[in-house]
Amino acid sequence: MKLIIRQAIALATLARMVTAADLTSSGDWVESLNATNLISGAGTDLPSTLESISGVTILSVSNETGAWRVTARRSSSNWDNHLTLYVRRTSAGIGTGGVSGGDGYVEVTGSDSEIFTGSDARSSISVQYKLTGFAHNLSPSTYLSSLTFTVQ
Amino acid sequence: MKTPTKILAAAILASGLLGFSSKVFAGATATQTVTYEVQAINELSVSGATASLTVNAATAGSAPTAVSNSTTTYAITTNEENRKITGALNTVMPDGVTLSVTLGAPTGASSTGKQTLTDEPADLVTGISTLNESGKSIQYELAATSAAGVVASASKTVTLTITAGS
Repeated sequence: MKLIIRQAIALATLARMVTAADLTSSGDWVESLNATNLISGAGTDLPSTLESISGVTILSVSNETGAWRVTARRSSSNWDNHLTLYVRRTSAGIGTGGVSGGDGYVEVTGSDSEIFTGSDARSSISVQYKLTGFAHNLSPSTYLSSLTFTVQ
Repeated sequence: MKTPTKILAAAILASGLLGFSSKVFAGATATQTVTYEVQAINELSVSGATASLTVNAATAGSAPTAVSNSTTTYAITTNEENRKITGALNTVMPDGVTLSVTLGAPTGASSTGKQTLTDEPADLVTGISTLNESGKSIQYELAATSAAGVVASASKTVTLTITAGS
């Protein structure tokens, strides 16, 4: 009796369904600023804000039924603390589920920040980036930041 | 009595399969890269294409009276440290005729004062670092000795250059 009950409980525990949502992405953002980007030539400064095109990165959530959330964080090998990186969702994508939130820019830091939520499979969700803090006192260099998106 | 026990076990197993199922999200990640490059920017522009100067008067017993022109200004943007502005003519002035220039300095920099222009670059402003300013003064002065004689009207090109400071 005890053995059968223990076996039943063990099997019940194993029956907890574990689903692993898959997240794929494509599209990096690469920009270069030079003298042609000055607001109005010599005597003027660089624009303080730089914005990517909509959909520079595309996210897709698959292998999932139910609710999920997408977060983002960055890690930078060479970063200037005058700069701030933001991300926002610019399309709902396609699929059986839906998405909500994230249509306003969210700051991306070294910690996970929720970008948007959704349910079920959803593909081709467009994302756009914004960088603020550009000025003439930003040293000439190449600045690199890696963005990690996570579906939870 | 085994039958009720088996039924109980089966019931527990069934409830485990159907009632205790829950979802645990295995986090899935994807990575993209944001790369931006800021190139060295050193830009100069001058307002007003020409500055006219004519020496045509003198006090008896003295050299011809020098004249000046301050109608042009310059604008500058640099994102580098320790830059300077040099000035040079495309060709030298005639004998006995001197063209000089004085540039106003942007914030934090220093003007070298009035400098005679030749076909070799002369430092006009030094110590310029990461700034953008416009409307900075340019004052030209034309002087001539009596020995220069009458000099026909001519044009010279003054080239102002931002370069690394020494």
